[in-house]
Amino acid sequence: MKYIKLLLVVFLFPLSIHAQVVFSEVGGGLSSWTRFYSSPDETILLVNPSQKNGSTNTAVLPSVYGKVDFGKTFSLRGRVGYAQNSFKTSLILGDLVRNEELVQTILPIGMSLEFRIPLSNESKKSSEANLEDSDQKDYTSKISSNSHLIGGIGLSRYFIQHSFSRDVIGGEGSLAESKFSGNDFGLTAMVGYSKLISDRIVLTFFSQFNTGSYDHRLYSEEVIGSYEVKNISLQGLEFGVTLGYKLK
Amino acid sequence: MIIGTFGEMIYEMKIKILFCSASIFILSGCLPSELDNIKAFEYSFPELEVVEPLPVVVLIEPVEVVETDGKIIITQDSDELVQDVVAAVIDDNITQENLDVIQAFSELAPNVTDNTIIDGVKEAWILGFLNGSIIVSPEFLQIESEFEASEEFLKYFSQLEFPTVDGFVPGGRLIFGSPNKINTNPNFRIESLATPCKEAAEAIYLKNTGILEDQSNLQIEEIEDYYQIFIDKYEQNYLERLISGGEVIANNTTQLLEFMLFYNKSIDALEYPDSVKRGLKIYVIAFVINVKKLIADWQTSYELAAKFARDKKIDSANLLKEQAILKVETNLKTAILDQTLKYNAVTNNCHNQGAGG
Repeated sequence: MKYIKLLLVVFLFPLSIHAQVVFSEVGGGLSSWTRFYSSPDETILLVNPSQKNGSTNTAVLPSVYGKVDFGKTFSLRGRVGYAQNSFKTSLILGDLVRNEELVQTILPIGMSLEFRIPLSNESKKSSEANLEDSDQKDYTSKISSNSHLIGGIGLSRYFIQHSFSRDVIGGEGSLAESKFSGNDFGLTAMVGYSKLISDRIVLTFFSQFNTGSYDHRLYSEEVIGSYEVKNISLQGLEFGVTLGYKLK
Repeated sequence: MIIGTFGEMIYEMKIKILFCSASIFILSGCLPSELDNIKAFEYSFPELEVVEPLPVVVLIEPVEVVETDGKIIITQDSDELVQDVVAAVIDDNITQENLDVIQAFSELAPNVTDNTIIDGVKEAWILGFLNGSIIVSPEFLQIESEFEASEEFLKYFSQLEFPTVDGFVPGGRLIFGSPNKINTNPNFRIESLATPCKEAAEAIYLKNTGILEDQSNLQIEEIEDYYQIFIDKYEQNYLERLISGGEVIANNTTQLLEFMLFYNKSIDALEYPDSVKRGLKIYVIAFVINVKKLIADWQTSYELAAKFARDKKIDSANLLKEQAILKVETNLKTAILDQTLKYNAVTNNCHNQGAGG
């Protein structure tokens, strides 16, 4: 309820500086998201898991984004990504072979507050020069949309879907594919470099650090029906590139 | 609040809608949601799911024990002598052979006078002595002991046929042994093992052995109930036999008493000299005292025989009961061994061949 009130306030708040709030950019990107585990990875949910910490796991993460500028320095970026992984384990007990597979799909949906710092030195010299106002405006606008150092912090919500299957050879117990869903939150911190490569096209290189984890049930074979909850890390580092289209 | 142009208002609205929608979408249901999982794998062991019931043990009825009551019988020699004397009341003709025997009787206890003997042995004395109201005099005891000491006179005493149990005359205590109980406590319990596969197999194994033990306990209970009926019957029979034994002995005693009284009356009616009557009365004294001893012996041996018969029957029933229980325990042991072999076979597959367990 409190969030509804907050949103109402935002909704009704007049953007008195409305001319500086600009839905400025949309685009898409591709990154590699490397997760590193401080606990066992998703194989802990399968048969015969390794009890060691998971090794690094890299997934390709395509994404789309939209950006709203608040003035020349700050902006709000919303992003939706898509990543997929798979994990397999086996257990052999005499004539009985159990194979289990987990296909993981993650949709990270995030919002981050970014700031940008123009990198061009000419903007300083020109600002010091005694130019006419119109020339300065024109020159400044050209300089500020050229290249920037960007950084930001944000919040991501990870929507996760797991698809399990179990194949038993030499006995009963095979299971068809079963899907389970859940979600959790994490923080992000990003740094990057963006450059306007044409009037409307922006190329951005970025690195983003994602935190967060999610909870997952694991049912016991010793006591049928009972389960424990495993916490699995989503922490990792992204390296990627985006291509954006500037709307204004 | 500054209201801009209508176009700018629309634009501003769009920005706000976009922002609020994104916020709502990200924050909606703000609680994280844990993921569920497939249910744990359950091990199945078809070999252990079949439990053959224990075989039924056929119960054998105890064999009947043959018991006889025994009796006090009058010997042929005694009977002939008495018949001769009784006949002599009419024909005054005791045979010479019997007269010689009577003469031999009369020579016993020469220190005891004829009158003491002839006048002392009356119907009242016979009745009183046998029912215990009259205590025998030392003279009469002397007569009986001298009579008993003579081997040629023993054939004129009554004889006791002792009670028998299956043709055996009990004497002393007999103990019927039962076979040594074999330790049939199945020692095939498998120690609890750690892995889920073995735990699942062990759970079924323990359930199956529990079923078998329940069947075994039920069978043993039925066996004990079955044979307890017989044991209770034997105890009851024993008590009834003690009661009926008194009647048997009393009837026999009555017959002997009538025999003696009739014989004594016949002696009193004889027309023979006192020396003959002395001999005949001496015979009566010895006979009656001996009969009383025999009655006492008979009572003792009768009780002993009844107890012996009871113990023998009970021991027979207990033996059959123990044999039946032994069969049940052997069947149980075999069945548990079968389950154990099956358990070992299925858990052999639980051994990790290098891929976890």
